[in-house]
Amino acid sequence: MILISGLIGGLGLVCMFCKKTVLGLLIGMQLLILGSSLIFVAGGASPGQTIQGHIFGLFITLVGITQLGIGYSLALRLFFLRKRISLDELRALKQ
Amino acid sequence: MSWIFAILALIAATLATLAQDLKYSILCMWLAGLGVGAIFLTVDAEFLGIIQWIISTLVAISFVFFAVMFGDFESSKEKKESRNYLLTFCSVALGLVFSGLVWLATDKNFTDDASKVTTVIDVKTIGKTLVSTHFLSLEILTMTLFLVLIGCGAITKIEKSDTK
Repeated sequence: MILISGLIGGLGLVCMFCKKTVLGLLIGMQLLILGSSLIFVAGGASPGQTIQGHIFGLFITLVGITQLGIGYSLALRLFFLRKRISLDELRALKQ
Repeated sequence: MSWIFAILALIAATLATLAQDLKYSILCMWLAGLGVGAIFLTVDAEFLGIIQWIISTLVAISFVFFAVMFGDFESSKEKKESRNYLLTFCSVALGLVFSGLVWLATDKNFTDDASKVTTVIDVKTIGKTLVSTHFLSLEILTMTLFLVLIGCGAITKIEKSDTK
């Protein structure tokens, strides 16, 4: 199971690098969060382990939602500025 | 049984990464989330499994709304994705290295069989642990979420200079 979580996280990283849209980036980020929460929950479910893994998995999932909200708000801001959403034009938010 | 869901999640994650069309990426990402939630159910983490299903579904729906509102479905077809195979290999290898390090650093007792799980984990136990042992972490997380909400509202506020 730890191998699967590593692969899912790695694929999320690949998705973040390869996709050219903001949504693609957010999809990659969600896959990364899936992999990392799986590794904690699988570890917490092992014999003799305590509940910590489940707690940390829950925290990671909630932080993932937070990141999604930030991504959405940045994309919306860019849309208000440039009337389109493009990863290449994120620098416009500096102004 | 959990291996079936694990393979399903892996295939869905691969398709989400490789799909050119954003619609299929979103659907595959949703499927990966459902697969991971099902894995949580097989290791006796029902609460987290249900949470994961709900979150994956809501995230997929919000992605679809987002893409339809801002025309990302059309623009994704025009943009060619860069396929750097070295980067792909390094990213996947990095994920595997991280997993290997975690496996080496722990007791190597990871299991996917619910019958071997000895700790009783239910919503009551999670709630009690959260408000007793991890109360500070919970407070920090809630404050962070609250601040992010306020920050998102501030960032997306339309200013006069945006409409010029």
